[in-house]
Amino acid sequence: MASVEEKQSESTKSGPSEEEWQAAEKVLTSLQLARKNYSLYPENHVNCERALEQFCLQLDKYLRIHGNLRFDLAKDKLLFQGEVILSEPAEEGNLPFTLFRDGIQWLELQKGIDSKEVEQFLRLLNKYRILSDEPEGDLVTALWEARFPHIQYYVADMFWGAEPEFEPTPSPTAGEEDAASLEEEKDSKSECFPAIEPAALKMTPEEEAELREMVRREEKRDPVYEYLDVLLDSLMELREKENFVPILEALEEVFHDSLARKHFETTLKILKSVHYIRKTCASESTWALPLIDNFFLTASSAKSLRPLQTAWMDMDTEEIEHTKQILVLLQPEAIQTLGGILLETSSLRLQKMLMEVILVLAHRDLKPLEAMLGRPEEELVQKLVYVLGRLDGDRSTQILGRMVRHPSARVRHEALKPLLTRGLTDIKGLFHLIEDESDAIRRLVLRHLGQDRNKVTENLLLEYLEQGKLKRSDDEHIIACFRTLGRCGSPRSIPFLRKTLLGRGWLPSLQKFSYRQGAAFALQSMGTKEAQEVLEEASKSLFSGARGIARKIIEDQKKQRKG
Amino acid sequence: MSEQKAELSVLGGRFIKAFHHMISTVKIHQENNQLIKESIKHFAKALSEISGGMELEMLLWRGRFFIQGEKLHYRKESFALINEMMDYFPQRGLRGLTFHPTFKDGSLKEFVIFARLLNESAGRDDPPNWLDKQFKAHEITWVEILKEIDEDPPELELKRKEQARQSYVHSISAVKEVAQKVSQRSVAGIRKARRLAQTMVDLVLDDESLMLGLTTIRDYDDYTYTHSVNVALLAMALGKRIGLSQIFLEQLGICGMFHDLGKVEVPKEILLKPDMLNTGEWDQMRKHPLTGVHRVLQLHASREMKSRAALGPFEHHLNYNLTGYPKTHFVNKVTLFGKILRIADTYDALTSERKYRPRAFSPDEALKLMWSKVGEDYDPILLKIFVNMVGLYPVGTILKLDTGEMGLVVDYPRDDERTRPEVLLLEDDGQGGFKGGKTVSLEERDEKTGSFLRNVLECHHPTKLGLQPAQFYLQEAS
Repeated sequence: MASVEEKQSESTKSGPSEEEWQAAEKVLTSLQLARKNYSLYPENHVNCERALEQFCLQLDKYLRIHGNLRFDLAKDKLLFQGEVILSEPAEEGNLPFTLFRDGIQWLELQKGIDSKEVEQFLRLLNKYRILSDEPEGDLVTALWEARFPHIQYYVADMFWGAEPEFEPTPSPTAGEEDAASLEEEKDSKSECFPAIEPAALKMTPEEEAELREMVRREEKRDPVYEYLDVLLDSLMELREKENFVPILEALEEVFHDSLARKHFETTLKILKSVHYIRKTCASESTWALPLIDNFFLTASSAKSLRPLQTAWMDMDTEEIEHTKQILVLLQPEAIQTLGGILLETSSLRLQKMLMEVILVLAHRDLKPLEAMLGRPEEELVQKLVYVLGRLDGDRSTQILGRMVRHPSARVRHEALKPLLTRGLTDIKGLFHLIEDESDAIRRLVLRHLGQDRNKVTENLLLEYLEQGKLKRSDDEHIIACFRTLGRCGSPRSIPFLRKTLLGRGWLPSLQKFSYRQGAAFALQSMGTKEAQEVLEEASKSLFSGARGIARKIIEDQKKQRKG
Repeated sequence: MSEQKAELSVLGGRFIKAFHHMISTVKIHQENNQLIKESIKHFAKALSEISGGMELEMLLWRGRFFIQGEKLHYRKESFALINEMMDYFPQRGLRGLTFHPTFKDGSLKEFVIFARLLNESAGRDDPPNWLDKQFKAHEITWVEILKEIDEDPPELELKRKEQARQSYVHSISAVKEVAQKVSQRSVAGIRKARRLAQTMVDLVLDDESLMLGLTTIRDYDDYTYTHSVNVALLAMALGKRIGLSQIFLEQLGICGMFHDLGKVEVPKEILLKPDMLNTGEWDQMRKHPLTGVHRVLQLHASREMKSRAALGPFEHHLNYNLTGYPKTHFVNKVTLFGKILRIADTYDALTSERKYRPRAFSPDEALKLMWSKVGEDYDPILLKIFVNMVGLYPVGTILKLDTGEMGLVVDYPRDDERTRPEVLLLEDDGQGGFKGGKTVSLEERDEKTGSFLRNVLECHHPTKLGLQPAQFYLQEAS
């Protein structure tokens, strides 16, 4: 702070020349314009940049020719060399009032000021244009902290006007003694001398170095670490609800901030510690449990985790690992946000990590994941279904069963894979998929149906083929279905296959060939003696369509045996 | 010490040394002697350096030199010489000298005459008037005599004292206001507290002794608030000693001001109970660091400010070795702010009169007691610096001297000598009380024997004599 009050009188000399007055006016006009732009636009907006440039230009011109520029202040005016140069009502937001309100009596812009200093000054002027009720600081506080080298000002102590009464009260026993009585008073005097050996007070070079280090560390450290410990200890020790809530709120603030600043160790510490505190509350302070749960819920919200979306961009392996540890400590509700992030990230490493986290969270509660499956984004739903497929349990099976009817083939395929491996699969429920529009799904279903001899599957396929329920009529599909029947079927299917291969009447005309070929393949797949006999019979048939197919298969069989 | 003051201290020391050399040399040598020429050249250079080509006022007030209104701090090596100069001026009835910028045009001859006249004036009837006449006769116009030795302190000193007093009083009201607001669960801004903390930082940097003197203010009825401001001041002064930046000093001040905010929740009956507290009461008392954190969170302040300010309440009863209270689970070391506040808080508490103990500890007793716990309760380095800062007989201590005089410790003129302070001799005011007499340094020695003129016999707490030491420092200001 420029505390040279005397300087004030310097400003009232003989009066400025017209040229000087005009130059000061130009500076002021450009300052006002810059203030206006700073209040309307972000600092990097072109209007602000131009206004700053213009102000710097006018100021530099003035300082070069006329030297330092000083304005004296009243609540509704700025004075230049004793004359009013700007007059504005004493209202919040106006320049004279903004400066005067906080006690500034004069302000001087000095030679050597650069655009950085000016820019920071404008920023402060804008920030403190209007003071809130019960503010934390003001323009003078900000100027004091900024310590501008070329902006000087004088502040009248604004609090002096209403000086409180202060007459310290001595203790009731004070002054009961005079100098003479002190002679005898043994209690009130201390043993002399000296109370501490002066040599003990000498600082050693090691202590000097340690002190320097202590100060260096203090000035460099982020106070949030100690603050965090203080908050956590307060939470541990304060077991009254009214004290508990604001501390949790403060922790929430630190949590958000640490995420935004990618201080993941801090974030992790908060979550682990609050989990620990929750455990300690479980027996005695049960009222605290919902409060803590609510803390985790808020921490898991989309708003809270939003900073992660930008933080992803340049995370290294260690940070990814830290993030994973953080995320798995959240509530399952976080899945909704993580899903969004999953969709936006192109990094496979991150996708993998996120899906692992979602898996852990969904283990605790499936509902948030289930809710996400209704989202329109196919890619996201597919990934979530993949996660779902890794979750055991009836509920996940049920949801997967529902997802095989999803409009997206990729989603259906993703849902089908785990379902087919669970063994408990309701084959009837999935049978419709043999006609799925997706080749991959059809192949997958048929491969599954043909895994082993199964009466249910055989019946389904028999019914499907025999009753001509096929909606798909391509040869490839028909043959694939017959092959599957061959793998899962029993001698019970042979009459149907024989009839298909050798019979003439019932087959749909367009697919006759593929039906016969399919039946022959099915018989071949069955590999039983009975099936082979049908093939042999067909190879000798007068009916050339059946004979040709059967002979080809039998020849292949022979070749295979030889080879 | 601020950078500016440190520079003044160096230049001032150099100037007085050159002054001393010049007046000593002209006593011995003839005008054309080379040594005289050199000493005058040296003096003119030192004068030019310290004045910066402007007018320079050199003043002696209450046993201290003031240059341009700023108290001059001495270095050990120049102390004897400065002591000599402090005798030299009163012997000639001089309050001080003003050198006008025209000294630059003064000839060698004029400087020799100036120095000789000063030396000669000691034997004259009215030295100042005699000097005035002689200067006129020799047409020496660049120097002026400041005559009367009155009790008016230098203007800057007065202003600073007034500002210090006002800041102190307003800080108490700011702390009170915030405490009342938080106890009513309403939002409390800290704008005022910050502005006051900033003023106090500036004052501590300018005149540490003055601010330490203020901390001797005791208010029995409003103990918590004066204590809070005292702790802030002591902490800031210690922070300054260890080289914390101004921004950190402000934060430390805020921590100090609000370190006892948790006490708004402790019932008055407990705070003012004259007897020992029972277990339940003690439990309540021990909660105030934690409730203090809670109250700090209620302040309308940035997270950064809160994260500093919360350390004050939480750590001020936490010992260096992490004993004390509150119980810690997560905190594994006390912060620098916490360590500073622990020292400042204990010192001010011990030296204050409290209902629950028969008497307050005298400042030196308090230090002794604290020293016995160094390394356990207090950081050893910081406590060393603290003791060095307040001195072995801290400002505000009443000393009984071997001359039969009573003195109030007001300052330590040297940073490197903390056993022989400057004391304000107390005189009987004829109404059963005391008034301030002259200020003497306990470093003064008998010229013949070389032994100290005054030695300390006993130390007492000022309240035993019904004294508020700060009244003596501030009396000129108010």
